[in-house]
Amino acid sequence: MTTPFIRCENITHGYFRGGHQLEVLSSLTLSVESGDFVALMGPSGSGKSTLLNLIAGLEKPHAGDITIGGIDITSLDEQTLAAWRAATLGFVFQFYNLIPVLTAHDNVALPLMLTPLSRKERNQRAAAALEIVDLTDRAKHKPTELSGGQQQRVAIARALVTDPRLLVCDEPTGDLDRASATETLQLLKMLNTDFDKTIFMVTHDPEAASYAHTVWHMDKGNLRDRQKRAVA
Amino acid sequence: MKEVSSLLLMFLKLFLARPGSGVIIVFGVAGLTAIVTSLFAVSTAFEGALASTGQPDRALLLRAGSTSEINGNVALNQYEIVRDMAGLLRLQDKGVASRETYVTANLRMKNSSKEATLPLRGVEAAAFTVRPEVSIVSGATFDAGKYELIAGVKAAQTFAGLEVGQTIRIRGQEYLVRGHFSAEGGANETELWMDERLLAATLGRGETFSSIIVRLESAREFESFQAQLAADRRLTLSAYRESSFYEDLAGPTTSMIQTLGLLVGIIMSIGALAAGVNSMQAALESRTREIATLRALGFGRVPVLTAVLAECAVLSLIGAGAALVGVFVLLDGQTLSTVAASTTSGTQVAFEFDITGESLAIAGLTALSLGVLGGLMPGIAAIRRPIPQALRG
Repeated sequence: MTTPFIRCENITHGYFRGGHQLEVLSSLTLSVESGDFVALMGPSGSGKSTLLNLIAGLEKPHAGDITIGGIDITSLDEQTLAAWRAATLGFVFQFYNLIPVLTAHDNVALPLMLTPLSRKERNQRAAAALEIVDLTDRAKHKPTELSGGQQQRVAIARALVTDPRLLVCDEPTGDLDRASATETLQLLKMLNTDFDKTIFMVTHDPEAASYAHTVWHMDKGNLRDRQKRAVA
Repeated sequence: MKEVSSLLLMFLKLFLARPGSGVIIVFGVAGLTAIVTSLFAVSTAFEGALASTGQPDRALLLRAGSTSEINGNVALNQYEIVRDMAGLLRLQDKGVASRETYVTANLRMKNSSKEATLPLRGVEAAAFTVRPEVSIVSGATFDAGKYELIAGVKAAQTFAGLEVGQTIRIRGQEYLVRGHFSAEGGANETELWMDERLLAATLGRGETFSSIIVRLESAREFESFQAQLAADRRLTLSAYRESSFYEDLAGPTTSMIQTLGLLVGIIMSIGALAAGVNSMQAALESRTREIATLRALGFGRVPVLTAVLAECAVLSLIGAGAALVGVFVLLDGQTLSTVAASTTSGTQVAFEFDITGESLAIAGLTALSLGVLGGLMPGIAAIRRPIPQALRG
């Protein structure tokens, strides 16, 4: 039996709201194999985004352990966790979260500032990432000069430029029209199959979920059922 | 370092893209720098003008009990006794000493309808020997026995009607302005000089005058000269080393300007700091999502905070730099004047505004500290915000 790439063990987490502790995740356990493309679905408030934030190391659970690639990220301090995110994760956000004053190329190159690469190497890597998402001709454009779909492709290029093992996607098609959403999903699928990236995606969209190999449904802080699909 | 510099560059671009209330930090620091630099430059220049007037090898003799020339009332016979005393620099077997009558005159200031007071000093020819730093720079000196005067260059710059060849009315008497003199930046440059005996006669002073200025063989002679003066029962004079006299004179006004500068500086610093905190708070609020994105990508709290503080420092230095350039262009070398308070007669002392390296350094450091302090609290708040919450904006 292989060790799962992501292992969440008895995760409990919640927030303090209106003077009360609101439990969002309750003793949740989840495993994701390396190279899997997981879609996490569920109604608003079901705890999808909280689970994604925990797996991405943006928050620490109140109880339980999260091990990713053999590293127990719940035991890492703030600084080490930031370095771990830089080395292991690529983020794709619903609203792209590009830096508006930087060009597409500079946005993509941003995470490389945290690496020891030279300027030349950083430029080469950023150009290669933009080529993968087919935006070489838009390298010098700023986000406001790009369509929503193009901005999300720049965000995907930024996510993969450091060659992370895991891509964490929070509603990546939530702000896109159908055509752009399809393009984005095909790109993610390609990164999963051709570049062996493990993808953990939160989505409301059944169409988006249909690109995943594993679909989890969440409700009231618990994983309800899992569907495994054959790789297309 | 690469991390911080890339963040700083990005933050500055973000600032330029959305300056918003962030410009307040630039203007706040600029205002503070301009005012504090100006006040300190004024105090430095004022102190310098009076200090350069006094020489350690000169002594000012006043009637015993008197603390200023304006109150002097020295009998003529005392002058002859002093000239024969030991320790004075001698020329043609006579001690180098100048008998002087000191009163004030009211004249209208240039570019203003207001009048101000300046010293009118009656001197004899020896005044130029006693003060070798004094020289005629335009026109000629006055003729003894004539209603003529010469004006110090700063007096001529500050007051109206003192051009060479003009006639000016002082205390009901018309005087011809014969020339201008310089005194190497000393306070004498704010004075009017004329014939001493004519001034005493015009004022009805008779056989008295205000003070004697003597030139000693060397600065070391002062104590023995002072002792000699005290021992001579014919004399009722007190001697002051000229350099100490002018330092004491400068003291109260210099401290007043410095205290005022400090007070204004503190009040403005508090204001600038509050403005800086608010403006950086607003600037960082508008970047909440960007900062959260950077942190999600792996940029640590310390580099983000360092870049925020560096940005504040850069903005503050831009403000301070602009203010200093403005102050320098507008005021450096300009002649200013102020009233010398306390022991003097309350006359006007003019001096050249002088921006020193020290005042530049103080202004720069103050601006830098304010900028960094102004960014500290908003910066800490920005990096402490939970990333998921901040990502939602």
